[in-house]
Amino acid sequence: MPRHTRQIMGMPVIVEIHDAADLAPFDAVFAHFHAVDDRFSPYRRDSELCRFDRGEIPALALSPEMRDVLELAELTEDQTQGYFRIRRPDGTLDPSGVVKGWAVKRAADLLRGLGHRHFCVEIAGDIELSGLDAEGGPWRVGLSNPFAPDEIIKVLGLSDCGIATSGTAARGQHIYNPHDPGHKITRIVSLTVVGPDVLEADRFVTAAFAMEEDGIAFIEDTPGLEGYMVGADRVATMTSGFRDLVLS
Amino acid sequence: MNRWKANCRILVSALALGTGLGLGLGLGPAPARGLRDGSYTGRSYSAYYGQVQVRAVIRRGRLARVEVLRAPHDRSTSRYIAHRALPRLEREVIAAQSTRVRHVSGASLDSRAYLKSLQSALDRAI
Repeated sequence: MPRHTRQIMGMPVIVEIHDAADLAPFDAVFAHFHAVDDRFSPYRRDSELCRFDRGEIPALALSPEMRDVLELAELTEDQTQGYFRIRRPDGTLDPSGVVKGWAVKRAADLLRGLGHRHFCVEIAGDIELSGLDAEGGPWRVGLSNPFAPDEIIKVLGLSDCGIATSGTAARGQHIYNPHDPGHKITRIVSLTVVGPDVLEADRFVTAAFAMEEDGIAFIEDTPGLEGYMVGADRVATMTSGFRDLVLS
Repeated sequence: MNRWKANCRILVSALALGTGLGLGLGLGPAPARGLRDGSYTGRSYSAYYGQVQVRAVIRRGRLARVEVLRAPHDRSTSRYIAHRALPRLEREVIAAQSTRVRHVSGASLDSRAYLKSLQSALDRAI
């Protein structure tokens, strides 16, 4: 069976490997995601993240993984005019915007290190695609309709790259509910970014989504990234190179 | 009905029945009745890619509605304009494709953060 799914970090982790002889590489990837959850979970009081945030671990004693993620979060904050934030307004450390993409990227690196070439690793819509799919062509990846998540609005052909989408079905629901004074109406409902790997796609999509309509221009201006933004008016705006990725 | 709404309905039904969620999330059993009527705001919890906060509305001692107050990416405070990119951007009206795919990139809300915020809102209604 080349495809296996597990629920980790509250989200489905999907792994598909087309040049695996047995289950060992799948087990290695799932073990990796469990380790990431243990280390970075904001819910586990004994996670390294929570212990560091409470001052129980000195910065010099942090694991290489934690240092890597914190550095990436700081770099992303710099690269996105502060639209990406490593700390929440109350001061709590929150590198969560890069953890998901980082974890998927590391899983892909792990598989490459084991000699695998044709695989994809996915967690909740953040996907790294390596080599070719079962049919020997580029991996076919659908973009879901933010107004009707069971519907596909675009099919992309991707190989050796990463993809991530921001926006929430919950946000979309706000748009259906304009008379509820507790919610503001937002102008964009989803943004998808394709990048050289899933980590690049994920950390830039997080920041660009917060820029609302200007996010797609930011993606256009950032080398190596393509994007597809869906507005609240159901009109999509895409970067100049995005059309080349579209199969249908 | 989209999947998010369907999930909400299932969740609300499960809580209203006091069945607990059985999702291994470490949440206490949801109170079935005897909740004080009113609106209760849950704590904000970190999902892996943003904050999630909900408000529970109790009517006639039961959970009547859940409102999502904060969802990931509601972080926009100022604006960045990249004017020179705008002329190169292409626009189209979105349309459903009939093709089937095995991989989908789309938005999702972290279910654990949602459930924890909802639980803390319900704790306040007891």
